[in-house]
Amino acid sequence: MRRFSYLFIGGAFAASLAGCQRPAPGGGDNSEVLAKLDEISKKLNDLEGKVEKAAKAGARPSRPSRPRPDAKATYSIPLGDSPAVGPEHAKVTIVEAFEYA
Amino acid sequence: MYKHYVVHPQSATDPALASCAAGRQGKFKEMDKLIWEKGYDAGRNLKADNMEKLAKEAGLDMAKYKADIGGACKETLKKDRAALAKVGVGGTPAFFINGRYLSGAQPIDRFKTVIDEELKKANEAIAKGTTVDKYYTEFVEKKGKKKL
Repeated sequence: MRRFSYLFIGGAFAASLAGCQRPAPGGGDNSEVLAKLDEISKKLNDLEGKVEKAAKAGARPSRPSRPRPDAKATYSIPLGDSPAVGPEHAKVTIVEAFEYA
Repeated sequence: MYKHYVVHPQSATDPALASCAAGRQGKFKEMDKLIWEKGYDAGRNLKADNMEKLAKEAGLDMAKYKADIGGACKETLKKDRAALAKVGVGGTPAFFINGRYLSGAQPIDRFKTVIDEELKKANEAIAKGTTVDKYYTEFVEKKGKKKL
């Protein structure tokens, strides 16, 4: 009777070990998932490298500023028949470039 | 003296045409005041229909007003803008004091400095024989730089 008990316990133990090694749900093994993770990790590393490279290349150069008139120079501004206030002829004439905004 | 330099065509073209047309009837000052007070300050109402209303209020000949905003004043706006852009104007307001450039709404002292300098030059030229009515033409229009 004792020998039968030992045989039964041993057999049950062996059966439980076999159960731990049963395949993952869906039928495949984990190696496929691990392979996908490796692929994603590799792509991530590539992207990080590209971002670093772009950062080292520096910021985009700013647009050159538009040239402005020289405040010391005299520019020829024909008066024409533009509307004016004040006398027709004056020692100093101020021309204003304007818009309603 | 006022020259149009439209930077925001969608909102500023109609009032520019309206004030130009009023100027051609000798009523620029009146129309300019109405546009600022009853157009710009009244909720930025600068559309053509409000400009027409203000033109009537200013007592303009409306047939001539409509002809000018559709014709001569469009040319004036183009001509003014081209002449000012040629000497480097890029925004408004911009001032030329006897051809000397001053950009933007500067403190009065900046204007005073340039005005005094130009007044001195004009007085010296007049003391040497130039007349007031010829000064701007001879010393600013003819001798000034034609472009940037």
